[in-house]
Amino acid sequence: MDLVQILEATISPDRLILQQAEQFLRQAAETNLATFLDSLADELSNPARTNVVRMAAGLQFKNYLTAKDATLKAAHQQAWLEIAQATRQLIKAKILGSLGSEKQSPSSAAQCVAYVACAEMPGGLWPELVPSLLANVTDPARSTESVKESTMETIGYVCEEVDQQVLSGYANELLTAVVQCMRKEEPSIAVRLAATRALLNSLEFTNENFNKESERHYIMQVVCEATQCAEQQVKVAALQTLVKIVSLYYQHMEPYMGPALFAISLEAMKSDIDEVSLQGIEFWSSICDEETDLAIEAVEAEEGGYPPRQISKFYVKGALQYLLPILLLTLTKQEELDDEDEWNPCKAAGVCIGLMAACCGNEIVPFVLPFVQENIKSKEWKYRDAAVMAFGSILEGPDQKALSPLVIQAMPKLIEMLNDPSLVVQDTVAWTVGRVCDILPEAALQDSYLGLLLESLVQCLEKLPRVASNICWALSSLAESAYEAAEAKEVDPTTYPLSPVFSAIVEKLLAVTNRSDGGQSNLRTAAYEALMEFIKNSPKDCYEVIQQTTLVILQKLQQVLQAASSVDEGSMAQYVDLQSLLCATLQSVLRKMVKEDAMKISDAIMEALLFMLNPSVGKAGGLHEDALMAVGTLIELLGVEFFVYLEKLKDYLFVSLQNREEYMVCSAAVGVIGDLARALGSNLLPLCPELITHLSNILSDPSIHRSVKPQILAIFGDIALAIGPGFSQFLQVVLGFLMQASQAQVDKSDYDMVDYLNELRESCIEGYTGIVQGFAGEDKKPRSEVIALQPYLAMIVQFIEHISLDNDHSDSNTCACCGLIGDLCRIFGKFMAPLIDKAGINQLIGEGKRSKITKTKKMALWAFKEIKKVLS
Amino acid sequence: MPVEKENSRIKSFKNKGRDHEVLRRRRADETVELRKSKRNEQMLKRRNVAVDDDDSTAGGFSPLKESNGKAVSRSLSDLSEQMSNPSPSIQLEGLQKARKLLSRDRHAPIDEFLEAGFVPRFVKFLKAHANPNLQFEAAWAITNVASGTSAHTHAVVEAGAVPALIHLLAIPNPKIAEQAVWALGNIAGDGSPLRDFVIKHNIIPHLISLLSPTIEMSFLRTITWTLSNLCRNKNPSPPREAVLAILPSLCQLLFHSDSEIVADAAWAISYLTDGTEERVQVIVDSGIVPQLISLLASAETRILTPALRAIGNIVTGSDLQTQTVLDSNGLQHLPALLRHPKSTVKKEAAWTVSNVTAGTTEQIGAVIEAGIVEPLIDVLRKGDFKTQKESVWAIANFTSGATVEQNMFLVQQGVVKPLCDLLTVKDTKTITVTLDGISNILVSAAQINQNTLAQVASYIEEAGGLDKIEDLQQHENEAVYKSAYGIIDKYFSETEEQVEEIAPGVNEQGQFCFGIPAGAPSQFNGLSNFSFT
Repeated sequence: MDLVQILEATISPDRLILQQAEQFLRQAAETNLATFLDSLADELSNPARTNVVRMAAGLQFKNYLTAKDATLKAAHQQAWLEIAQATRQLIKAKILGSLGSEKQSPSSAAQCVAYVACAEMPGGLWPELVPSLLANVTDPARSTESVKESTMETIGYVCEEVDQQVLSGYANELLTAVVQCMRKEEPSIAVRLAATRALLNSLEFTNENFNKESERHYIMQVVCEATQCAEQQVKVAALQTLVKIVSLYYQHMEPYMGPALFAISLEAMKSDIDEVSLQGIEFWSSICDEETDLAIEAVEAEEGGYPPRQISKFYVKGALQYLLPILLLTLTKQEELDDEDEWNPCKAAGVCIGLMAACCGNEIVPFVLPFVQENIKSKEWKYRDAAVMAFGSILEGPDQKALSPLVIQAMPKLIEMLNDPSLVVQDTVAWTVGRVCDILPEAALQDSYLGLLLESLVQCLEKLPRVASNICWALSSLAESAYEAAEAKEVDPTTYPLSPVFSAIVEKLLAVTNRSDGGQSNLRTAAYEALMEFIKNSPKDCYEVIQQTTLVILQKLQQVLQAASSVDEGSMAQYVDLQSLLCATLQSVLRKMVKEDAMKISDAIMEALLFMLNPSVGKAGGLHEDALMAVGTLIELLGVEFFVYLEKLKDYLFVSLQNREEYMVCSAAVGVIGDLARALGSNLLPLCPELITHLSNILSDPSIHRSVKPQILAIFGDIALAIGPGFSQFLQVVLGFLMQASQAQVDKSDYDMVDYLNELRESCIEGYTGIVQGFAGEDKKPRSEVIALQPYLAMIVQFIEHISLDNDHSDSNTCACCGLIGDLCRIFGKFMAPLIDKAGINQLIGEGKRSKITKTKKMALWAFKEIKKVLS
Repeated sequence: MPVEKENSRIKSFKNKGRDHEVLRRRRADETVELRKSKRNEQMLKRRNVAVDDDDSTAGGFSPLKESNGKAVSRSLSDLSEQMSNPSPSIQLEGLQKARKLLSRDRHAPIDEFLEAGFVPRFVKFLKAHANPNLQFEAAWAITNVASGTSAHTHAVVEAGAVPALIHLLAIPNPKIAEQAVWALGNIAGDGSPLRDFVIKHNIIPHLISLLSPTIEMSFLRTITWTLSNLCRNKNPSPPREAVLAILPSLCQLLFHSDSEIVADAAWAISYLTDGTEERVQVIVDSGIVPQLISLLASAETRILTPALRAIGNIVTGSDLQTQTVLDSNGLQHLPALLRHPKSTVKKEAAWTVSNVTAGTTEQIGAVIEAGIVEPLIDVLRKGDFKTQKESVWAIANFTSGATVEQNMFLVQQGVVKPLCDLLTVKDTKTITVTLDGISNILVSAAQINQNTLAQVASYIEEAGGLDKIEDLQQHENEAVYKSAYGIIDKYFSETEEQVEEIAPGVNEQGQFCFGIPAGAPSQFNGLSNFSFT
């Protein structure tokens, strides 16, 4: 068979032929990749071939240059680069020459060129590519419509795939080509569309061009013009580009807002075409995001006493009066049977109003309230729904004091509307009531209607899933708010306003979890979540219900587990989710339970939990995580009594510790070790060698997610604290890790990394503290074994000084450091005198004393006293 | 493709974002938090420090800000019993618990304490001269009660706390005296009647005698704050004699190195300048104006704000009083303040300027000379609305008192466009003031010659002002439509037939025009030589 036939066979409906073709191609690639790719390039560039053959050739070619999986992609690129330079040169010329010669779009050649570029551009290996692409557009001898279109597609792919830093060197050429093809003078819509999409992909690395006024003016002019294109696809792509521009280059937008962007976005918002209207709304949602961030930045700058990097221009505030009439009208354009998961202008308008409220606070209220008042009693459900949606959307942002009376006034009407004849209205009302419970709890907990509210909510749990689900969330928030209010009056409250109906609500929620339609609209999850909130936020007089619920949950869990063998593959995911929810609920009841009660059922609980931790269940990381969290809570509750289960738990624990792909499982297992240490004390000693080995392995694994590491360092401290001088055997190895972590450095311009470094350092301090305290023991006079630590003290103090001198350290770092200094002075006495009499230490204590956090302040004062004792 | 962002927006719609995985992450985070606190608890236990108790040793913090970890849950009757116990140490224990409950950040049970009749008992403890600890705790408790609502403060006064507290100012225990000053400050801050009540009980000489060079910084701060409350509130303002007695000390405090003290002293001055011309004169005569002006250069907003308020108050006075500020070079800092990153500062600065531009032609000249016009127009253009409102007043005052030349200077500085932009705001008063400004400018232009008038009119038209003024002829407010009608009738009646395109900023080719500088466009037209470098 020749290659042409094989390529034709790749779209054969006959499975056998297809498999043969695939095998042939695989063999050809394995035998000689260079020859294979060269032949594919020949077929791709041969105008005598059919579309099918050329497209298949391109696809095969592309598949040997890239892949979804990052490792495989890197391997493909490496294999390409190992091909002799001359051969590559030849192939590249062929695929580049194919641009524009295909009869259909999107062009396969464009993909081939782009993915070769991905392999070569980072190494600077294809210098003639960009000039050639540019010439495709500017050289009249070459720039046919299809050449330009496929060139734009190529640039689009390149901009999407290649690292921004690599591309920034080519920004001028690429941008010139793109903008040239985007202009309204360009006769071909296809070219304009491809160019607009390419620009969209190139915005990130063209910041230098955006910084130059004349260039920015020109780009903006071209983009704005494209938004006026009669062809919808171009219009949408241009609007998407504007949305991205306004996020990336907000500070440069002032000259364009008044004269152009304002009018363009408003016109788009008003469009009858959903895609257009969505972009118009998204434009303002993005500005809201920007300005909300800038407001936060301004506050931070104010507190820090430095000028903000950028300032808000308050476009949203200024535009409220123009935007809201359009958005409110859009809210009324919902369909009765719309797809809950489909994104449409009506939903976008709701979200946008919410963002505006967050951004503008009180100022939005007068623009929305009249609409609400006018329409809430409308005969048409769409208007009632829009009124409630608008009301619910502005609850977060404006001053609570300003809103509270309005909401209290509205609540009786809202409660009544939970039974509106329209399902959509019910859904929105349920959500809005939930928002009130969450954001303005005092307005929800009014004596005058609380009873009615609860009664209505409970009744509505029987409604259709999308309504009932929102009701569950409302109940969750209500439980939390009611408990918080009670807690403010009394620590560990004896009762609260929901106590009389507590049992009835829990029962009802349990019934909802059994609903056969619970899989829809996240209803089952929401019901369990509400159940957990009720349990978590229960006062003492509801304990009996907690006891009963525990038994119900355990029973349900056992039933579910018994059904394990009969679950078919299709419903496996739902089955695992259900176990997960039961586990989580179990955890929440255990948190409330007294030890004696837990002891009575701990055998059954452990049995169920171990069943779920069984690795044969397959890849069910989330379930394992939930099971481990529940185990942790049980350990904490049982204390040393848990020892009887240790032997059974340990193997499952080790398996989870080795789960590196699902690092959250590994992380949850690490957490359990800490719980074990606190609960079992020196009883943990026999298991320690294995535990330390596992923890060391994780730390030494370069592929492990970084968030697991700090946790382990702190757990070393927990273990040391539990087993005291028994820790000696691990001292060398553990101190090695701690020292290594102490020296970590990060890119300080990345805020996430600064936070991570602080977390890492604090964990080191916790690790050291555990070791020091563990060796010293609990008596006033330290154990003699503590002397073994003396050689390391100077290094530990140096580390604290290092933290102190880093201006980015957190208050909680300061607190932890002060604690450790106090411990060192208390335990090692005069020995510490020369070590701690340092400027850095002094500074740290001073800083702690001035802290606004009481705990830090007290820790610093205590450390200060301990230091004084040592130095006197 | 930005489609991702839109899809992520759907998570913000109703409860869509609360899925299984998000909730699990929340549970995991909660578990991590709980573990961390368990660990900390365990470590603390070995240190023998109880972090939640024993707060009197921490020192130097405000009882009002005290965060309260664990509420002392004991019924008031228990406390009452303890406080009636013959043993002073048990009394102290009860009193301390009461004070802690009252110090809670949220939901401090002040009403419950009042109803249970605790306040008179606190006052009685104030007089327990044999036991300073009891006095201290009682003063603290009273401070907390007095910091509540006005009814709470009055209850403290009715229980006879004021004379007892003032008595404590004379005792040689600074800790107790400071607490008493604090309580008195809270009482005086309630309003004019209680302020004068405290003054009548002779607080001022006592406070001033406490101001020794060796006084502790925190104590001095408390005193300054209390002094500021004695200056606060109008209708009536504090008695003139009281002001005269406090003023020398305030002037001294304004030179202090501690910024909190300076800030409170400056607030005090700002209260005192918020009154009749006669009262302003008392401050001007004290010679403090130059120091207030120098504080306008402070980098600390908390000092800057009251100082600016005080200066602003003074320039609202007579032209002569305004002149004292100008004579001390008081306008020099205003350009910087109009550019201040904080919008409230900008607003106050614009307000201050508006009171100067309301003055004489010479004073308007001083505003021009100090370089204020440019930043003023800037805030008019892009300040927040409140600032714009103040600055439009400043401009309108300017245009009404200025010479023809001064007004043309304003036009040259580009005032027309931002003024016209303000014509579409909702606030009727602002529109009226803006129209006055525009009208005054047109009057000035007409006084020069027809060419100048035509020029200014064309500026207004180019700025879109004409359309807006025409629209305002339909405004519901009488003053607005009359004013708008007057302007159109007088200056624009021939050009009325022009109807503008609705879409803004689009020229006849349908091109969007950005502010491309003159001379540049040719570069953009021929694309053959176009390049982004």
